[in-house]
Amino acid sequence: MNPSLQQLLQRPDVWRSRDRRLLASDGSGHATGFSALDRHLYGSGWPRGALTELVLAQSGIGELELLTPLLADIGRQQLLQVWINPPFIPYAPALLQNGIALDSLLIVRSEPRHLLWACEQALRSAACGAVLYWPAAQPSYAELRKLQVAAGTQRAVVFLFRDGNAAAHTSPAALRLQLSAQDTQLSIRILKQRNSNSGQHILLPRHQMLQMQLPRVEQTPAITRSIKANIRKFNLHTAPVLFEQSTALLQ
Amino acid sequence: MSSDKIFSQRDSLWLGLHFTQLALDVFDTGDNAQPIAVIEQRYVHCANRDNLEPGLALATAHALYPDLRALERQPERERELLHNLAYWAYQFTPGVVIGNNNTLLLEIGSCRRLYRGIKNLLKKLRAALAQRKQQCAFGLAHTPKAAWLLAQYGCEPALSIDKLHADKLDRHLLQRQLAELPIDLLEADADTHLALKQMGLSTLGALHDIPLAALGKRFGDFFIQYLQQVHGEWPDPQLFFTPTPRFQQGLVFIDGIAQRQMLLFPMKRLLHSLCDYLRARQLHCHTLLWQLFDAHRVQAEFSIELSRTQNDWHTLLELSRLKLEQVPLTALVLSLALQSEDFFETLPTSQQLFPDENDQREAACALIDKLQARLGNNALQRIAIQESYWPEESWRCCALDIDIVPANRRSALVFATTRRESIHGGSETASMPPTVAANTKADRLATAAQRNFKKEMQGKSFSPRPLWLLPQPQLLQQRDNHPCWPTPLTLLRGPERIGNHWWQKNAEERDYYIARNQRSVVCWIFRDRNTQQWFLHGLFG
Repeated sequence: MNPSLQQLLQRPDVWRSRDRRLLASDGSGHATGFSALDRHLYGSGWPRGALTELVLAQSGIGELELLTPLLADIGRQQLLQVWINPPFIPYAPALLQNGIALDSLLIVRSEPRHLLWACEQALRSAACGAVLYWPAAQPSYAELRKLQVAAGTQRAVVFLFRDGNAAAHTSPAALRLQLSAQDTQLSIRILKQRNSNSGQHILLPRHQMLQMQLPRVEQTPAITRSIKANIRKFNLHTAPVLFEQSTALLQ
Repeated sequence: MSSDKIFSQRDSLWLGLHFTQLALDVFDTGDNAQPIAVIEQRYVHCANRDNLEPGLALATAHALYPDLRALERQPERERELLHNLAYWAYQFTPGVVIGNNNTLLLEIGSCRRLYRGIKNLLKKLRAALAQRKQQCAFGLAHTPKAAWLLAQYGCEPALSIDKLHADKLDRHLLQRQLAELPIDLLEADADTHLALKQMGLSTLGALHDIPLAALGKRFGDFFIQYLQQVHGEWPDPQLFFTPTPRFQQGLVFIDGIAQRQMLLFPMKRLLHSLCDYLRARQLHCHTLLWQLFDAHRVQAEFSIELSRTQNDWHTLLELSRLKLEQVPLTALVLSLALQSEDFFETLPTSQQLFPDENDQREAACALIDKLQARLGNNALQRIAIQESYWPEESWRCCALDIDIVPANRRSALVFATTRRESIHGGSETASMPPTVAANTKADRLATAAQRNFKKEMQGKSFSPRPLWLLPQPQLLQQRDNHPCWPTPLTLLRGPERIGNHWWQKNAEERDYYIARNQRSVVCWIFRDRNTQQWFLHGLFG
C-alpha cells in the first residue's frame, strides 16, 4: 500500500466501516442497561463526553424509559443530572419507581435564549453525570458544534432531544439515534455513530408494560359498570389494592 | 457595711437604659391618637395611655377605652429591636451589654473625657433617643447591677458638680436612691422574694441594714454575691455586645464609567480587598451586595447569593460579571460600592490527592451558583415526592435555595450557623435563616415520604405511573363515550380509581387507564366520575 495512505489510515480520526478491529469495544461507554443496544454501540454504551442525539417525532414513545437505567446509575454515583427545558413535568413517583434518585435531579427552565448557555455550563461542570437538553428551537450547526466541544471537556453523557425532521440535517453529534414506536416496542435506528457502523435497527420491548400490575381492559363499559356498583357498596374513596382484588374476582 | 467600701471601683460608671415602651415600639403605631395596648395572655403588657397599667385585664382596658386596639406581644421582634438598639448605642461607647427586661447597660466611665463630662454624654443620648422617639428610663451607678436596678425604677442620674467643675456621681444621692428601691426589683427567685416580704422588708435600704452574715444564712451565698455585686463589693464581669462583622467599601470614579466591561476592573479590586478581609479573619461570605451610583442616587443594585460560602475572588468576580450583564445601565456610574455581611467561619478542609466526592460537590455548587446568577433563582428546580394518592399532589416542586447534593452543604451550613453564634457573641439567637429552617423541615418530610414510597414499592405490586405528567389534565374528545387522541385510544390497562377529599362535598373521583393511540404513544388518561369526561394526564415517556 501507498506509504502515505498507510500513514493516513493510522490517524485516530480516520476510520473504515469495514474495519472490524475498530468495532471491538473499548468499554469507554456507559452501559445503557439494554444488552441488545449495547451490542451495537461503540464502547458498549452511551458515549461519554460527547453528544448523543435522540431524534423523535413525539414524546411518549418510551424515550425516557430508554434512559432510566443510566439515570438511576447516575443517582447512585451521587452525580448530578441536569434536565434542561423538559417538555412536561418529570413525574416524581414515576422517577422513583424507575429507581432514579430525586436528589440528583436538577431541572432548569428559563427563556429560550439562555438555554444553550445553561447547557454549555452544565456540560463543562465536573459534577454532572448526565445532561438532558430539549432545545426550544432547532439548534444551528454552529450551536451543536459548541455543545459538542463543551461536552468533550468532561465525561458526562449528554442527550439532545430533537424533533423528527432533524434526521435530515447534519450534526456533529457522536451518536445519533432515531426513535419511533412500534406497538409495544421501541424501535431504534442508528443514524450515525462515530468510530463504528451505522444503520442498524434495534427493537426494545417497553419495560414498563411488563411491570404493570393493573388488570387488562377487556370490555370497558360492562366491567367498569359492575366495578362501580361494587365500589359504591364499599364506599371506598381510594383503595387501589382492594380495587384490584375486586376486579380480579370479577374476571 | 461601711460606705467607703461600697464604691471600690471609682472609675467605672454604668448607665442603664430601660426601654419602657419597647413592646409598643415594635409596632408602627404612627401618632398616638388611638389608644393601643400590647397584650400578653389577655393582660395588658404595655400601652400608650397612663391609666392602662401593666397587668390590667383586657376586658377592663376595653371598658376604659372602647376604641382600644389590642395587639399581641411579639417577644421575638422585641429582642430584634433591642439588638438594633445595642448597635445604635455602640456609637456612644464600646462597652454595651444587652441586659434582661429590655435594658441596655452602657459602660460610660471610660468615655468621660471624650464627651467632656457625663452630663454632655447624657444630653447627647437624650437627644438621640428623642430623635428615635424611644421612651427610655435612665439609671446611673458605679456597678452594672445597680445601674440596671435604677433604670427599672427610673431615677434621675445622681450627678453633682465638684470643685473642678467636673461632674461626678454623687455618692450620697446614689445611696439614697438605692436605699429607696423596692425590693421586688431584685433579681431573685420567688421564694426569696416571699421570704423577704415575710421578713417585713420592702426596700433595698432596709435589706442593707441587716448584716450580710445573717442574710447569708437565710438566703445562701448566691444572693449575698448578688447584693455585693450591686454594691460593687464583688467582681461582676459582663459579656459585651460585639457588632457583627461587616464589609463595606466603595470606589469613586472621577470621570464616570459608561461601559459594563470597564466596571469589571474596579469590581475586581473591591473583591480582592473583600477576600483579603475574609482571609485575615478566616471567614467565608455568603451574600454580596453591589451598588452602582450615578450623580444623585443608587442607579442599580444587585445581590449575589452563593449556594455555599466562599472566599475566592475568581468565583465571586465571575458571578458578579454574570449578574452585571443583566443590569440596565442608564447613566454614567460615578461610584461603586460592595457590601457583605453574614460571615461564616472557614471550615478546615484538607486537599485530596485524588479527586473525590467533595470535588464533585464543589463543582455542583459552582454550577448552581453560575446558573442562578444568570437565570435567576426561579430557573432551577428540584422535585420531591409528597404523600398523597392524588396525582397532582403526590409530587411537589421545590425552588432550589441551598441544597441539591444530598447531605453535603446542609451539614456544612448547620455547622456554620452554630459556629456563627460564637462569632457574634452569645446573645444572638436567630442563627438559622428562616428559609433554611423551613427547607430542612420540608426536606425531612420529603425524605420520609420517599422512604414510605419505597417501602410501598417493595410490596408485591404497584401501579405504574407515567414519567411525564401534563401540567393540567387535557380534555379529550369523545366518540361514543370512547376517548380519542386524535383517533380512538386503545385502553390497555385499568381502571385504577383515585379519589381525593372524599369527606368533602367537591370530592373528585377518577378512573385512570393506560391507553395507546394509533401512533403507539402510551398515555395515562382518566375519566372524571362526576362529569364522565375523559382527560389526558400523562405520557409514558
